[in-house]
Amino acid sequence: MKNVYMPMPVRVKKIWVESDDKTLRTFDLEFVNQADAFDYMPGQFCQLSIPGKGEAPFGIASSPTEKGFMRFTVNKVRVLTTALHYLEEGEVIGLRGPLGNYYPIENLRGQNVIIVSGGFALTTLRSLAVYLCDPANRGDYGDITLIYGARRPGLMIYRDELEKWEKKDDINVYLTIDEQVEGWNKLVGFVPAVTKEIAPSSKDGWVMVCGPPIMIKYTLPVLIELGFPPEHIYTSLERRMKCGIGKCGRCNIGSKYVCFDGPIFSFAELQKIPEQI
Amino acid sequence: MDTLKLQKGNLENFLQKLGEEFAVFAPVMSDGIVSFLELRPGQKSVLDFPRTHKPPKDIFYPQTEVMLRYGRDGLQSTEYKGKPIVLFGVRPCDAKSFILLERVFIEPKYKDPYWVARRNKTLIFSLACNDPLPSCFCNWLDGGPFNKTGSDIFITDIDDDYLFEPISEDGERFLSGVDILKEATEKDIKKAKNAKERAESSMEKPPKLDSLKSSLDTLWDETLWDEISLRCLGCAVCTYSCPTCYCFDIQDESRRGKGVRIRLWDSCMFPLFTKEGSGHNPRPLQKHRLRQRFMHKFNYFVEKQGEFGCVGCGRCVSLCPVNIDIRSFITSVIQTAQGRGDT
Repeated sequence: MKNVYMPMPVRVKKIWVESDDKTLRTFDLEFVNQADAFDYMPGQFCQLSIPGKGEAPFGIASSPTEKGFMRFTVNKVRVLTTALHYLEEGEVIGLRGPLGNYYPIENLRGQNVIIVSGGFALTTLRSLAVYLCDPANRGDYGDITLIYGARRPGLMIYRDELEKWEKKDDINVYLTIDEQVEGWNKLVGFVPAVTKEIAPSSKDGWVMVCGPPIMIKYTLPVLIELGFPPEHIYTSLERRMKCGIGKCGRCNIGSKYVCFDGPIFSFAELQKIPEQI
Repeated sequence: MDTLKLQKGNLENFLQKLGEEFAVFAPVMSDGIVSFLELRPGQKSVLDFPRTHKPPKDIFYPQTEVMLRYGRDGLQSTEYKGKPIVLFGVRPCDAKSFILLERVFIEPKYKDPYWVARRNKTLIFSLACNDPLPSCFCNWLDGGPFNKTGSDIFITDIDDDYLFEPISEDGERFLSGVDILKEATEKDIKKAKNAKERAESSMEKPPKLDSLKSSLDTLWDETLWDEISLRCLGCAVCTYSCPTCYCFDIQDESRRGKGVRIRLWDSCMFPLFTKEGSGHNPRPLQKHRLRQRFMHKFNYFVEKQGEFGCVGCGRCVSLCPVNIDIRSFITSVIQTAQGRGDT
């Protein structure tokens, strides 16, 4: 029997600093044993571990359409994430996955997709955007819009890539920062206000939103006001996790385990669960 | 197959024989309390105990367990490789608890390899309760002092003998190969029947719990959580002594490049249980944590698994240092909902 707690060895292929305060780093990992490689979908997560330092869940930032690596962006918080930040290219760590459910790709066919994100929550939404914009998939979807905000330009993750996307015509990209700084020629303002201004049409529209709780809290009424039904608004939740497979019992909101039944939930589902988001 | 019997004087002999093939866990007096421990040669089992302090779940799901070892030569998993386990003399509530735990550990998508390795080829001998305790409430939850759910062989104490009734196919196969057992007489069966009636009638009539789950659906913001949590010390004895609580933590321990990944029982009563790396805690107050425990047992578990996540063993009732009684909580939930006309 396969041991579901046994991490697979993955090698750090590339590692770079993602934010100017150096609290975020991005890793591209490759499987040491090619036979371990698996298929996954945008929105799923993996458990990364370093023996002696522990294990924690991270959303997959690469898209299944990008072959040969899996990407993760890690915020430095305590023991494990600090050890992850000190890794060098070529070192081997552990990975378990893919875990959890994924964005409702099937429902998005033929529809317009609006991605709303803030801070470093862009990870799995980057996966989604890359997946939808892949030449093999792009024809299946309508307009794709990305609204992304950060406190300041230096905290904006995947910035080079986003600036490339701005020039493409298959995705509408809106980048915003909280307050004007010198040299910034894009939008200024919080994500909820910017979303209200851009006012994406709710006709055939689905919104995938992920960001700090405060951003989600104020964006949700804007989306409802714009006419999006709660069934068309999805978010990815976070909770402290250990096992990642619905057994250790700590990540539940109501009867749902974020690791097993989630992490992606529609607002229609969440409205039925009393525990705070 | 008919019911068999074992003379009480032959119990030790029987257990010794079992020990040749199985790792036998039975109630043993140790440090002044009765606990389920692996029987060592010559060690006596105590079958006239009312209820062990610690539930026997730790035999299949140890309180601390090494999951993986790591060192220079990589990672090795450490599933149980010992003899098949016999669990001898568990009470019916505890036997039933394994069925509930298995809904989690042997859930179809992810099977827990450590549980499976220990549980594989086990035999569970459960022992009828001739004298239920005042804190017992198995009869509230589809159980009873003579309930056979979860047992392979069901034992009844009838004064001079133990009756052995095969319940599962495994139990039947095992009993057919034991020559020390004799066939039970009609008189023996009658004695067991009387004991059953006596035990069942000694318990108070249970309240109807049909509306418990739906009542809890409506009581999320009720003040009853504040009231009950004011007393709670957050000591977690209710979860550690609970046969159906299964939450765990995973930790690494290492020294000089070698180490282990271990899992340990954890408890939703502790603030750290849900505290996130950012410092945010979705359950900051004891009231939230108590609500989680009760909701999990009587609402969420029902929603996911179709039955209550409690077997009514009464350990949390008798061990709680501030006398929080889950039974009065259950009745007050039903009454509060009825009083508001919600159900």
